[in-house]
Amino acid sequence: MAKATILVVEDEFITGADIQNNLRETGYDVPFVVDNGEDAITKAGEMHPDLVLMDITLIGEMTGIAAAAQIRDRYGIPVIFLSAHSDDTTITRALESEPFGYVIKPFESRDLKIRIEIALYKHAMDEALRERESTINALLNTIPDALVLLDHEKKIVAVNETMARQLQKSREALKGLDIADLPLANTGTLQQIDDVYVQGRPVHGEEKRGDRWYEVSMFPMTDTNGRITRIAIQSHDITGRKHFEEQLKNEGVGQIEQNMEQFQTLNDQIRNPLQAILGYLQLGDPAYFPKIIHHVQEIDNLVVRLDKGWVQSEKVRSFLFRHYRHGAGIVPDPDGTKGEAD
Amino acid sequence: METVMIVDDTPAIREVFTLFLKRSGYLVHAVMGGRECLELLKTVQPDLILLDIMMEPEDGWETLDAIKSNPATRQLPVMMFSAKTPTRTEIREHGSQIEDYIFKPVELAVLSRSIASVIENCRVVQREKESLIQAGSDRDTISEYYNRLRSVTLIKKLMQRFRDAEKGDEDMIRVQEEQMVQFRKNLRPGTDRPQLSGGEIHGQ
Repeated sequence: MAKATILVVEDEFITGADIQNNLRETGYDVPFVVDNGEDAITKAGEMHPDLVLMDITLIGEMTGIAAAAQIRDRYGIPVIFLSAHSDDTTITRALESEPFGYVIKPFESRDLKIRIEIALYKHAMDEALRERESTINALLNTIPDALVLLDHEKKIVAVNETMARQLQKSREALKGLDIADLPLANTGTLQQIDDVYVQGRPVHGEEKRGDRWYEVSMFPMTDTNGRITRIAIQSHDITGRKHFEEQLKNEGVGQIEQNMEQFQTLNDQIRNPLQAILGYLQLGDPAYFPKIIHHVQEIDNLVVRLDKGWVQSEKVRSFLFRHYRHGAGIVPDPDGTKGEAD
Repeated sequence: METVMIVDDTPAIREVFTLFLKRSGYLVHAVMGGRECLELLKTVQPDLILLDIMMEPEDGWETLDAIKSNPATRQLPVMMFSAKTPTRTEIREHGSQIEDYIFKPVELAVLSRSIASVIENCRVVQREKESLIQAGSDRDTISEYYNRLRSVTLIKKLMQRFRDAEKGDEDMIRVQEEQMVQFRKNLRPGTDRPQLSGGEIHGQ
């Protein structure tokens, strides 16, 4: 691992040089010592040290505490304060700016090294945590589904942006709220959450909120002991699909009704010539043969017309297939013995 | 000589039936629609009307209603004749108005038997009615009884044609049968036929 770089801010030249030497001997890279807050901020921006060792009392207007706050806010660099002060108010003020440590002069170089190492480690951990959080947030917010994480009291632990938008509140404002108080939960939902806790299995269902439809999935989340401590609820917007299904259903039903009507007419158009054929036949006179042939042709023509007309029954087929899982030629023959579907 | 009126919009059917029924000894009138049928009924009193259903502009059911709502023609026996299976509603509404329902295509011999049987049956019923009236039974009760009897017999026959018998069908029959029994209790047996077993409709 590369040497950690440390910026030293100290208004007393001799002390500064002393610390610089000290730290170099301990194994850190200490390229500069500056003596005022403004320079400290500038240098921190230029060199991006791993850590700043900051005297509270500095030359100029700016105190070490103010400079440390800016360095932390602008560059996210951890700061350890150095001070001869040991009175409470100074320490409290310094801690308010969230420093990684506070060292009272004079100090042992071994103590300082420990403080620096702790600060560097803590900073690395915080960075890793922030990194992980932002990754999780990025993941949560990338998917268009609404997500909410509940604790065992059905209180919100976290939500993603989509969920927050749906509820018209900020993600922060939603934290800790009871799910029962939010418009996304009906009694059925609350019961399902209980079921997931009890049974430990995910559940899936569809539900309508306002004028939109959602596919809702609930997943139990366990702690290291295997106990369910949280439940993640994912709501996938299926309004479009529902509308499509509804439309398909209406169109399919409409088309079927139309076909039924056609069929009733057909009934007559086929059976009337059949009746004529049967009648002429039974009259038993060959003189009627041309008439019989005429009525046979009538039925034949009808079948030709039908063959053309029923092509538009595609809608019916897709409707039947979707809702009843059958439709001409769509389902393959399981053992392949019947050959091609006709 | 008995008279049959054929109402059908298919010329070939009118031709075949006319030829056949004339050969079988009937006097036949064949017309192409409901309007023509009603017009002809002003001058002709057939023993049976064979009525097609799917016709334009008036269909068979409308024509039937017109026949049955006119006091001059309401007593004429009507037999429906169609390619179409009637709906339950149609049977509920018209079951008591018709003697039989025959499906196209029908063999001429079967048609002939049905016609003969309906005409004969109507005669029997007519005699029974007269006998009941003479015995002092109420005219309305008599006609209600025979209406139910016709209706029940017809539904039982047609139920087999319904693709799926429903619970409602059984109920429909049961209700009408109960009413029928009720009406029968109120009839005084006539001299001609003390047991009212007549009125059966002979199917195809």
